[in-house]
Amino acid sequence: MLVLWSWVREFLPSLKVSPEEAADKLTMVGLNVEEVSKVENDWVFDIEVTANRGDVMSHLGVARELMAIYGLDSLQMPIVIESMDAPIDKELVFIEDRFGCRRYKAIVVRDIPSDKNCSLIAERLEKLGFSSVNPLVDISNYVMLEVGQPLHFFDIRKLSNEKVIVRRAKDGEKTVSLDEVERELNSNDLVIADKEKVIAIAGIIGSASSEVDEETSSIFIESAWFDPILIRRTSKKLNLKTEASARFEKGTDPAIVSYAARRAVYLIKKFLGGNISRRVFVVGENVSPPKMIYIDINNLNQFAGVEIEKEKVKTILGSLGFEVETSGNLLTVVPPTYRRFDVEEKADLYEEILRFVGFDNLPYELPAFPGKDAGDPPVIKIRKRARTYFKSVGFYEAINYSFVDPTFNEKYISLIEGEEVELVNPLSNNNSRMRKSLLPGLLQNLSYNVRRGKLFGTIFEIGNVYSWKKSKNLFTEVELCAAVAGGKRGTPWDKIRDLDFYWFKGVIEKFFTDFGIELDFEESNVKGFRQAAFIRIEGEIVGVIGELEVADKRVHFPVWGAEFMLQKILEYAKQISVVLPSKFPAITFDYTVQHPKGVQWREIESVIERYKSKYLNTFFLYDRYEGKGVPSGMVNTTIRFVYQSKEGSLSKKDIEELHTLLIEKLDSWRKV
Amino acid sequence: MIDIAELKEEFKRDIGLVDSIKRLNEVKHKWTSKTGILKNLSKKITSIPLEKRAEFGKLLNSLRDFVRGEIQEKEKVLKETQEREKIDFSLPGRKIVQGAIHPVTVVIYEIIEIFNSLGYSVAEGPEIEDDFHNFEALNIPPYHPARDAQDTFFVKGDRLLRTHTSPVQIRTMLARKPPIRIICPGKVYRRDNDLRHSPMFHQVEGLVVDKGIAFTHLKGTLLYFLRELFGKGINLRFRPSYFPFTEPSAEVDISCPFCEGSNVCKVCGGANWIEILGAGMVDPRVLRNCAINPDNYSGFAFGLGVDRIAMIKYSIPNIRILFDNDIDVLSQIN
Ligand SMILES: [Zn+2]
Repeated sequence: MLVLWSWVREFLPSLKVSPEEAADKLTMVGLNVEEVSKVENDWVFDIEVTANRGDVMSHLGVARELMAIYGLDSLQMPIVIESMDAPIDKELVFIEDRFGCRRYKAIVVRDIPSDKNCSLIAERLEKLGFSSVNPLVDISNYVMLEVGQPLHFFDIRKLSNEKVIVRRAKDGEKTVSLDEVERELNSNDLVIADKEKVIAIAGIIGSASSEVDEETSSIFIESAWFDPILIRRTSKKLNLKTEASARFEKGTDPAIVSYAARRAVYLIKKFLGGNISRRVFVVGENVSPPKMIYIDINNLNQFAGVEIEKEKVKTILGSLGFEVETSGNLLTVVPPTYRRFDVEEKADLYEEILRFVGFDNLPYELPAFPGKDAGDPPVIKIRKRARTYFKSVGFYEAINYSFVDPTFNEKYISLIEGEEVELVNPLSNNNSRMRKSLLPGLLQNLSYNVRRGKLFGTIFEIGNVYSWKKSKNLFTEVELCAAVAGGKRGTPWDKIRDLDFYWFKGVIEKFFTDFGIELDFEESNVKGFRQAAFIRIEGEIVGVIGELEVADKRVHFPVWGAEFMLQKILEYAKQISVVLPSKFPAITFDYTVQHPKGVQWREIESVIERYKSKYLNTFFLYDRYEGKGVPSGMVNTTIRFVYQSKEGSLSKKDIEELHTLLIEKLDSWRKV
Repeated sequence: MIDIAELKEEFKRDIGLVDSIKRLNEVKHKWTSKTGILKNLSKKITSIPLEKRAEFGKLLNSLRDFVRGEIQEKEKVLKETQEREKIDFSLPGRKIVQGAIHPVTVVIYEIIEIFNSLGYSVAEGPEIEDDFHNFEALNIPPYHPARDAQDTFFVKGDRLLRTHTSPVQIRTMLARKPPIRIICPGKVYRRDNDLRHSPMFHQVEGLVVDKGIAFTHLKGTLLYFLRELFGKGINLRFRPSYFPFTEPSAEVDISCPFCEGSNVCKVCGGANWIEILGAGMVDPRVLRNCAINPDNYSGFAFGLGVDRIAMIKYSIPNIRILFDNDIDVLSQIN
């Protein structure tokens, strides 16, 4: 909101401070002055008004705060028309919705010459960013900016009769507003109407049909108090925010309704001329009167953390227009009419007191708490370990938006059941669904990096996926950890191992074995993967791993991907107990089996498991080789066997015999 | 009689064991120095009977030639090896494979650590929230103007993407009794998208509810926290503000830790203050909504945008960069 320094000063003729100082002081009581700029020989303040302070949305409001800041005695209020000898005409206004409209002041002014103007008003408006329309419209804006009461002027010629009705719109009733947009209304909307038509959407915008123009000579002045929620609801629905609605929706001062209308008449008569013909002041239901609030100085001091003297409290509240009565330590406080919407209870008064004591004048005190709170949820630790682990093996953490393109959920697997969650009001269609997998996002990150010249990608993410179960109307969020990798990392000089699938599998496996968890891999057809396996723990599917389908042709290498549920680690993690190694020497043999490529390692493993002797401590894949010297379609698998006993040294001869038996089994199995 | 052949064998053994220049020098000393075996042998020639001198001389010469030849040969080989194994300390070390944690996460962990040290626990809640937890319980009834500041993504029915992590505070207060000391990190969503706003960003909020919690405690806690995060030298400024769920409410600025000399600072734009978080005393209406009696308990709450802090800390000019996940950017975070 823009405010003109010279205008504020009219309310406070005795105030002798620089605009910069005043701006600073205003900021420190909560009227954040974002900018002070010099315009001609004046200063414009740009003030950020918080949603609770409708009362400062005028020069009067800002002046009131300054009055309290500088401890001034009174405000110089603008001159209004004092005597109005025109007759009161009760027929002028009929309030049908007495809840929506609680006060309505109407004054009819006739014979306004159309050849006059008021440059002072137009100049001020323009400095504040309002373009001057015509002298009458300018005056209505001027009064709003001056005292915070939005006014509306109707051109009497354009009304079907000289009586306005404040009522709810009929369902489907239409009106073309001043901005030339046709708007459809319903019974939730409050309107001003004549006998035939809507002439204004109450508190928001007038209708074009009753607009004041250059030829207008007789006007109907409306100054009213409308229910804030009603105004806001319609303004939100129509997606139409005006200077008027911004004020009404925060609650205007019911005590200024009549004053503002009389101020407008004063300005019209002074600058343009004209005669008051009729007037009326109608009330609907009561605007709830300000409440009495009780505060105890001891409680206030405990809340503030310091002693604040009773006299100081009285002075602050008094200077802000609150009525204060004291009895001992107890204060009875009544807010002024313009503060009844945001000051309702003790805490609201504490705020008023503390912001004028000055937050910065209160000391710092670190509270001493005994012990700890309940403790972090266990998943926090797992998450941190996952991040540290993936970082340590060369992965970069990504954070992607939780909302994704609809194709993401269509094309990729989801580890969670249920339908996708759709946004009602997405920023765009490609951000309209809540993700069901982290993999498409990571793949997109990989493409992004490849497009920028990276020859590899190793990226991981930890975050939620979302689903909805229609039958139970249940929304589910499951935390996943996902990783993608591919390409060539480093240079030959760096001697970094290839990012091949078995490396990738090793990365995933090691993360789990660190928690004492063994994984099973079950080959399956999985959406979004060229080849994939489900990752199981003790039979339960907890994740998926494999080679991803990649649409982006610029990604010229295979991309490995894995995704798993973080929570499952909590469920299956085992305490690791150390297995002490044997003190006796080990005897190792290597043996190479040549077999068709289609034979899986697990088959070889199971043969060894079946026929191994009790002295075989361990065996593992030593190497695989295919190519020169190996017939095509075949592969040489070298296995290392480690014989070792915990009871004593093994004789090489005994072991050789046992080992030969095992090798025979392996050879005969191979021939089958 | 001196057995030259045996000496030759001894030398062969000696030279065979040589694997360094140092050892070679030892062998040289033993055989070819002024006090070495060969010299001694020449001296002994006078004690040899005349008739055998010529033959002895021949044998000695051949041994001498052999020894010198072998030593020379060995020296050459050793020098070559040394040359070959010489380290070039200027060659780059091979790349160590290590990734990075996202800057936003790094900041979240820093904050968690600071508050853990003060005895706070982390609390978490769903990102898909309902109107009650995200707004109403926080004293933001329907059609409250404060809803404008938090333009909301809606899901189905009354579900929405939480606009702040405050609903976690509500859930915690509904689930257990004070004393409560929690921080709530997490993703939040608002329908904003420009250079400074991302439709998804991260918040950490804190909440303390206990008997006798005062405004000065809020100030003390934030001073401790922000000095841990930005350095001991910073000062705070509390500007009164408005949030529906705190009363009084404040915007908290830190004195700019980046201002240097007379240049206009890129971070604060020369204002010397950086707006860093919002805070306040928990509004009694919020306590009542959570069945906590504000006559017995009071509390404070604060909230800050992590992404902005990460941007300030790592001089990242545009919030989008945080979500591009560019490896060349991420790899600089440690
Ligand atoms: Zn600075």
